[in-house]
Amino acid sequence: MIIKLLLELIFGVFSLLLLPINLPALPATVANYFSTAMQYLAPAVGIVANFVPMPVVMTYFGIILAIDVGINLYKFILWVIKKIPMLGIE
Amino acid sequence: MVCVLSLVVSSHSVSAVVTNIDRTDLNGNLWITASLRNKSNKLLDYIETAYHDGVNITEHSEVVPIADSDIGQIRYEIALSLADKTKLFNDYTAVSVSISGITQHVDYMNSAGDLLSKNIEHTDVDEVLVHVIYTDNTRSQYTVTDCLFDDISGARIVLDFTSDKFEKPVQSIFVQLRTDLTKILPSDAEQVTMQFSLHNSEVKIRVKSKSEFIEEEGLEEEKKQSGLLATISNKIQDVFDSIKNVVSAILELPKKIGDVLLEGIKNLFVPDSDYIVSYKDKWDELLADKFGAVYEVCNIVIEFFEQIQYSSTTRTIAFPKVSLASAGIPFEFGGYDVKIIPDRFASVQGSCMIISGIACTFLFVNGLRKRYDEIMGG
Repeated sequence: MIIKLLLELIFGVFSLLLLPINLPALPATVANYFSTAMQYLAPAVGIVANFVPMPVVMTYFGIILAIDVGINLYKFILWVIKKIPMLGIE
Repeated sequence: MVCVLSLVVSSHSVSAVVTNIDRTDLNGNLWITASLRNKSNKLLDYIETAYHDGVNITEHSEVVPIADSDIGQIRYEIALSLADKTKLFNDYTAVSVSISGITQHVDYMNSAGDLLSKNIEHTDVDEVLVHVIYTDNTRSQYTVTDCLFDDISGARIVLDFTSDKFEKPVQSIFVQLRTDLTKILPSDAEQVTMQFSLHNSEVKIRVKSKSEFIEEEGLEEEKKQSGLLATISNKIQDVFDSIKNVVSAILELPKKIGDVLLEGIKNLFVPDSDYIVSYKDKWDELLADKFGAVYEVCNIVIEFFEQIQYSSTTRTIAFPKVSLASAGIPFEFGGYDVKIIPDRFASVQGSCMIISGIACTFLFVNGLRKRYDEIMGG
């Protein structure tokens, strides 16, 4: 129940923060071209999977990516907070 | 006509069931097969014995050791075709079991009643159940099997099986029991169960008709309670049972309270899996709604990486099918696999995998170190 409450709180805060953002959706044709290109590319890049253990690489890559996202998110939040003069954070 | 004799030895509260088959081969041998299974239906023992003219012509087949934990109630049933009785047997088949690592036997009686007993050695045995099942009204010809316990208080229990047709009479406390049993047997009796409890010397008899149990009676050793005394005794027994139930409920209370508390704490902190799934969907929906094109591109890229992650490692390149027919250009290519490394070099591929895996790990650790320095170094 407590964790649930916290998660809902986080979701609520983000919903509020994202309220002014409303980017348009990708046109279906463009999305289709993207998908097709990726479909052709994936087997080519997949050759690497014959020599490199992809599940391992992807796991490491995911962790590194998550850390980087965390760092940048932290920096972004800090940047937003610093913009609020009332808080007086330098 | 088929007569089934079964023996149940119970030491705990779980049960095992034995099935049985009997058949007569072209040589006139009667085959008796018994399989012993535990409560998980795991085969513990398998016995196949052949008789010719009443003489056992085979030895026991392989005996599977029985784990102590599996032992609860062991039941053997042997089916004997009475149609073959005249040329093969002149009397009943008896079964005996020894459990928990003690050698087990299956033995059969002949008309002279020469073989009427086997030993069951088990310190925990506290109850013996004997089933005599008739599939038709043959009880006048084949009366209920009797049993004899020797040294009841000790670890050694001897069971004797016999019938009216045996030449050697059974001298036991159950002579009286047989008389009583004959009185209560109905004309359509199909199954008679005698239950001997060694702890309180109690004998219970259940008689089953073609479809259901029609009578149940409790007998004490050598004397049967009846009338008012039996009623009072039953009432007292009921009271004791009720008290026993209350005490066991009270004893289980702390455990139940503990379970409820644990469940409460768990519910307080750990959300259920359904909620997590719906929470993730909520996020997906929000991000797709707010970020539109950016979110979709991200999704496509993620799918791309997923495809790479699960790429084939069979030393082949899969050429995807490319067709420009939809654009009016008659061009088609791909749709097949090409082997890039012969199978005999599979070990080389394995070595590459190991080396690159180790290299990736080093790179990963190095990346972590750099980020650690970045965060902690300000």
